[in-house]
Amino acid sequence: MSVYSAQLKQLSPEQLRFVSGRIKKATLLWIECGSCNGESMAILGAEGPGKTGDNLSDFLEGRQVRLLWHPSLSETSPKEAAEIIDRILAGEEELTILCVEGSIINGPHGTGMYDTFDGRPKRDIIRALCDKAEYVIAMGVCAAFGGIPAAPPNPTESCGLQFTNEQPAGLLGPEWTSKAGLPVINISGCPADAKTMILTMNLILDGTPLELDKFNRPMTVGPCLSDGVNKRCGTAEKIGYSCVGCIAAKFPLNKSLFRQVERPKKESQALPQCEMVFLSTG
Amino acid sequence: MDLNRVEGDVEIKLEVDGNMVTDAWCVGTTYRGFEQILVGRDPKDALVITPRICGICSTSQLYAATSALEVAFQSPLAPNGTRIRNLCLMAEGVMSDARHTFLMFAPDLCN
Repeated sequence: MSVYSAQLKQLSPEQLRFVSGRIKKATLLWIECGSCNGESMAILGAEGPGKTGDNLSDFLEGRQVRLLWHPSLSETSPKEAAEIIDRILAGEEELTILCVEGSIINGPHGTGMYDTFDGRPKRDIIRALCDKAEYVIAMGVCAAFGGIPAAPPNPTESCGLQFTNEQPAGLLGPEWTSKAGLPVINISGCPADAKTMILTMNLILDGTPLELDKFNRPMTVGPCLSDGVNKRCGTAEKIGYSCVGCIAAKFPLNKSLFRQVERPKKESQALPQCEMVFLSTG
Repeated sequence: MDLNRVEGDVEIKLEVDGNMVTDAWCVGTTYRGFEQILVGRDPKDALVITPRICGICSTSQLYAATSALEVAFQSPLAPNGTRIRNLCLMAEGVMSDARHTFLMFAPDLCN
């Protein structure tokens, strides 16, 4: 089954029994709010093929996960996506993993109409979907902590799913847990590391207990947490930046992001004195 | 009428009279306020914030920001700098064209 399969009725019961021994198939829905789609693009850049399970399409095929809808990868139009969402909300379709990308936009004045989908504010759709999902993963620092749209002056009144810039106040309350009993799993980063995203989803489907730190980040995000002791996760150096703290809960920082680095002045070498040799003509 | 597989959120509103389209609007359904976020910050912060406007065209946004900073500070640019910028934009163009053509546009041509 390819990564583009989003039609729900395509597998007959015989095919389903043949394909997987499990009775229930895991489903994945990717929804984005105020985002730049950087995480979608990043997850397509995961290293692969060659290593099974590291590539997004290998992951979906290998783990028998059905991709219900992705804004950039699905064949279905947004109208059919709205039908899929309605079916999930009505309880006819099971939702295992809900991946949210992008900060939750609450403007103007709390209505959420700065980001609509089919006429409804996306914030309400996401709020309703979170209650139906077994696991909710916030992909990227924008969904987890508000991120760039939530930087002051925050004209769109954005917030993250359970945190806003280190404050436990977001779309869902701080005590909210999904159907499986976990809070929102924050995979922060800007963009979030592709291997981290797929590895975390693999661990979730395996059922391994995830350790979450105080900001609900799993231990797969790392090794650097810029508000921790070790810096240098390598993401910024890969693209030629210095660390700007994109994994931290408070990104972007309110002070200037590029610090002036004092480089020791090198002693300029004295040029060797050459003797001017004049050749006499003639 | 909604569009499938676009980068970001765009809808198209059509006014149809019988069989003819009489008017059409392009509707951007998301607003994030980057212009207001950049006001009052250190100028070099724009180099970090502007690429986050879009995931595919990050390099172009960054190029626009650096050109704006150059004009504002009136700093000269070495010729090799221009070449490096051209290389970056070309690489991004290749990536963007491949993504849009094969990932987003071509599935509509298939069965």
